[in-house]
Amino acid sequence: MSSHDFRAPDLNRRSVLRGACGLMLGLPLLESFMPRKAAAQTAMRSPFVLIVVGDNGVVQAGATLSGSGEPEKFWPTAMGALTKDALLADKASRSIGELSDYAEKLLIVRGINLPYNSTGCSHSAADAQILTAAKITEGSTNCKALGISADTALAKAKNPPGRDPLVLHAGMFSPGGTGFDIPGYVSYVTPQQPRVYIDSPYKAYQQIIGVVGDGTMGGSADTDAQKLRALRSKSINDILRPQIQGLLSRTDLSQSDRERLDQHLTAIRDIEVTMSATPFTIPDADVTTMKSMDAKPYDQSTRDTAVKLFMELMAFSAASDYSRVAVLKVGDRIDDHVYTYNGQSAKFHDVSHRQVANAVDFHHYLDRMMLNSYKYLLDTLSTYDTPTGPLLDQGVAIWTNQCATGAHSFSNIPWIQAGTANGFYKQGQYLTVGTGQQPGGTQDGKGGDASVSGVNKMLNTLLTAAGVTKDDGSPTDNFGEASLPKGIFSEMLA
Amino acid sequence: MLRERATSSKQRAPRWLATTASVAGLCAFAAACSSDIDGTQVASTGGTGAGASSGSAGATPGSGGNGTGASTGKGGSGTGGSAQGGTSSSGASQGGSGGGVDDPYAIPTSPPAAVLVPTARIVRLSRQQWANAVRDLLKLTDISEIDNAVTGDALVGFDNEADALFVTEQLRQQLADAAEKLADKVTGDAAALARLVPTDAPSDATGRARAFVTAFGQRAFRRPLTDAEVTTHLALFNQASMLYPAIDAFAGGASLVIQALLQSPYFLYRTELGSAVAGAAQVPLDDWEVASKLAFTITNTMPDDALLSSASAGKLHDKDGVAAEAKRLLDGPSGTTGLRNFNLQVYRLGAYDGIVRDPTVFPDFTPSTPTAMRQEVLSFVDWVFAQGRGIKDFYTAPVGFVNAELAPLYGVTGNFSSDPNVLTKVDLNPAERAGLLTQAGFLASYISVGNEPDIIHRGVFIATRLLCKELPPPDPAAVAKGLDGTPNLTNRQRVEKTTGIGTCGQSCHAALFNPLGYAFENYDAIGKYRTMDVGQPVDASDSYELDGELKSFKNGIELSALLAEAKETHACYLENMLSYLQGRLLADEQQATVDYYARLSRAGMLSLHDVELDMATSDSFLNRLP
Repeated sequence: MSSHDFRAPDLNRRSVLRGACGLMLGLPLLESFMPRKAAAQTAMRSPFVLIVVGDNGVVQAGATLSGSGEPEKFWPTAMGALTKDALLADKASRSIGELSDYAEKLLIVRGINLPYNSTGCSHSAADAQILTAAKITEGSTNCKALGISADTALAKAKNPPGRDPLVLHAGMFSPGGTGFDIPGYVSYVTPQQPRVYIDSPYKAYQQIIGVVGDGTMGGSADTDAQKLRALRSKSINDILRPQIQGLLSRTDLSQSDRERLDQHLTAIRDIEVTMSATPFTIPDADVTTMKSMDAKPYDQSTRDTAVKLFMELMAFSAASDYSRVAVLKVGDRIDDHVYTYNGQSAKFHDVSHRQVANAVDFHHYLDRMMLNSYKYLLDTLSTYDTPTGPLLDQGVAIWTNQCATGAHSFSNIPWIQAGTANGFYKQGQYLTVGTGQQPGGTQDGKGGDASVSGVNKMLNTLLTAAGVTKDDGSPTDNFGEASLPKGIFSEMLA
Repeated sequence: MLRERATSSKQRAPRWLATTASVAGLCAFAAACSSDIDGTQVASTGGTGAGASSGSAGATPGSGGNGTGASTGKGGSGTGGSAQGGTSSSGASQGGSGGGVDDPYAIPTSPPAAVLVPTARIVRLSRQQWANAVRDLLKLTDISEIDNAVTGDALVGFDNEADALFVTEQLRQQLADAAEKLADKVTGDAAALARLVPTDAPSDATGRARAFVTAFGQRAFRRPLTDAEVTTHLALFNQASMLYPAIDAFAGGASLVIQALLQSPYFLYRTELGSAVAGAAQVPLDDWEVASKLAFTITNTMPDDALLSSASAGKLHDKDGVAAEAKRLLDGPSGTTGLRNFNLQVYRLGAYDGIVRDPTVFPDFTPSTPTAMRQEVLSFVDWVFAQGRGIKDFYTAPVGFVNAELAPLYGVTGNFSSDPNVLTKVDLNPAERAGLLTQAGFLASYISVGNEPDIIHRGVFIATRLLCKELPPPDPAAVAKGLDGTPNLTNRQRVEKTTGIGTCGQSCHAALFNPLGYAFENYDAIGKYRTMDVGQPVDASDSYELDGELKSFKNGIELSALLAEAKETHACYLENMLSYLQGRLLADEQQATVDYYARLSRAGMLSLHDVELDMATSDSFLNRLP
């Protein structure tokens, strides 16, 4: 698979606008098709947020489960301004050097802590906190977040009504896994209700183009068909809503029954008539690959391909305005994918716990691999040029990890982002937030110091960057567990 | 922003999912040498601590010894009596009479009093139930292409746990798309559509439409439509000329109605909404509600026509009627569908897809081998069920199901299909094979370094999934290191030198799960029998505490036999099974029922068939709290 190869739209702007005037009068025009004057206004649209969450931590200075020291092999060698030359110089010894091509666009942040202790499996506890900053339920391998995740909040605020965040998964266990056979949930619809992943690139592709089109449709016949489909949807929904409302009107249902029905009622949406809403396409060859993988999206030989396809879809989703937020989890509750390094094959999780020979070097190799995957996302975003400028500058693409180290440290979680979110964030910087608490002192699923640098502040900053405000219109400073110190990381702002 | 969902504080997670809190300190001073206690196979799961028999043995008051009044054969238990008077919504449940207080194995002569606990009344169909019900409702045989576009649920427990199933925005959209495609599939095929129209439907357009709406609607809602519902859906039907102008009016109308019904809450949820009598302590489910609950519990799909007919005829008001239908379903072609789905989850059969082997070391292992291994377990469960056997047989029967790939693993010769889904029952060498734990699937599930079988994870699986033991999280001070790499050590010796007696793992690994794994050292990493390891005789002997007593064994066959005799094995399986059958976490009050079944099962007096039949005819199944 080569880098993203998007092609010119099959419809030129003139024909689309003619179609809009002729057939779809009164329907909302999509910003990307507006004439230049209108398009200029789209610079103000909410930044997109793309988040990749990896597993098993990284090789950074700190302690192993054995208590012995680990070498620093991840972060840049020098704080402050990032340059390509500096990261290239770091490349020999630090994983982060893999991102040297994007040095000037990166904001690398150290010092982020997950606030709450694990009561069993630290991976599960970490997954439940990384995007929620919420307290977690007790549990061994299956604890849940007691709050919603940032992607949910962002989607509710910035996506079209009823449009879930795009939440993807490249791992072994499909939705519906039980016990410790779970994909490792990071996105939460409501407290204790994890969001199901889309685990197949082809399913995700179909879901996206079902809304925004594939860049090829838009004729009058398509539109007429959509109109009829929308009318049918409305007629059917006019029956469904009273049915649910009738059930909700009963006074003898439990709170949990009512919650289920409420959520269902809220989810019912009439189909909106849209023309082919995007000029962008996914290369045919990649769609073919997605389809071939659909029957069994995971196997040892195709996961890296799946990761890249998912990243293409994340970029496509942002470019086409399908969703302002997308999340990709790479790995499951743990990442047990088998990798080969220097002729030695081992599960990533076993490597992260130093249970195989040359485990530190092996893990370091995998860190580089993961960051190269992230670079693929940045490469893909960089291929999109929109009427309002390069796509990468209009949002933020993040790579983080459920844990800081293979020893389950919750202190100094890696956090790398690219893109300024329309000028909100600094770029080309490596900085520390809070006290920069190091791994080692709080090992193995022990909550890190959240007094100044909990992940909640990082999520507050992210939501603010994305334009999500509190009810009174002020910047979000209180996401996550209410008892955590409020605020954002102002040092990250441009 | 935080909104907590109401949950019952008395609910119990399935024992393999329970929290660690209840046994905190179990290994408080034990160093967990292997740091991957949180690994895929090692994660701590539910249950009580090491050596503690599950259930509430002390909650079975009564006198007398080994009564034999309970069920003894297929379909025999618990179908006759009624425990109406004993129904209670709170308080401690009572154990069956006849069990001695001091004898954890005593056979109770009667079941414990029924206990009703708060249950969901709006229960969304599980992902699989939805697919099965759609297929059967529309009388289709293959909906895989449409089905595949609908994602599953974000679960941590069984797939039918009511409190975890929602119609999210994403799912609602997928269900709408699926409904449209399914309707197109049916109405685009005249023969398929004809199958959904009553054969005695009037020929005039209006009468035919009403007949379709009424009959199909009843099957979709699993109850008769009210007059208002018929009117509403007929009105929708009659919009076909406008909404489907290009196709036949009847097909268009049918398509609209099919789409509406498939998205209706009355299709997507199993409901228990019957009216309560003022002041009554419990509310019996109505006939239609019973029919749905029976069907989804046993067959994992909607009621068939016969069951709906029984509901319509009011035959499900009493236990005899329910028992007759339950037996019919259990003995029918879909009688083990629910049981299969349960075992698929509790035995981690879905994880078999992740089994890979180095072809240069295991050339007989191919990409389709895991499928055959999973199918073998399911076939074996079917066989145990069909034979009227029970949990003991899971660990004792020297029976296998093989295709051409699996047969050589067992040293079986003959002509077998190459299809991993077409297996043949074979008798296996009883000196080498005895039940599930000596079948290839379990044995191939775990591999260690050097392509050796993974002793530790095999042991953990047995401890957590079969015995519901809860393993503590690793001690942060524990020493993490790989297995001893000294040349010419046997696989066992490497594990012993790293985590065995005399090491930091003595109190945890060596006590809680390593011995269970040693027992299966006669089987390599794809399940082939072996007697030698690096030129030395395999040592599969050890001892393990079961039901509070240290038991010795020489190998996996003997350990399997001990497991079959251990009450905690039965209690573990049954607690999980009851949780699954009820689609909810068990309440503490229901532990007496688990204990009751465990005693019978251990004594060989309870078949899998018995459990399902008894459950389906119990007061707690057929009634709800107001």
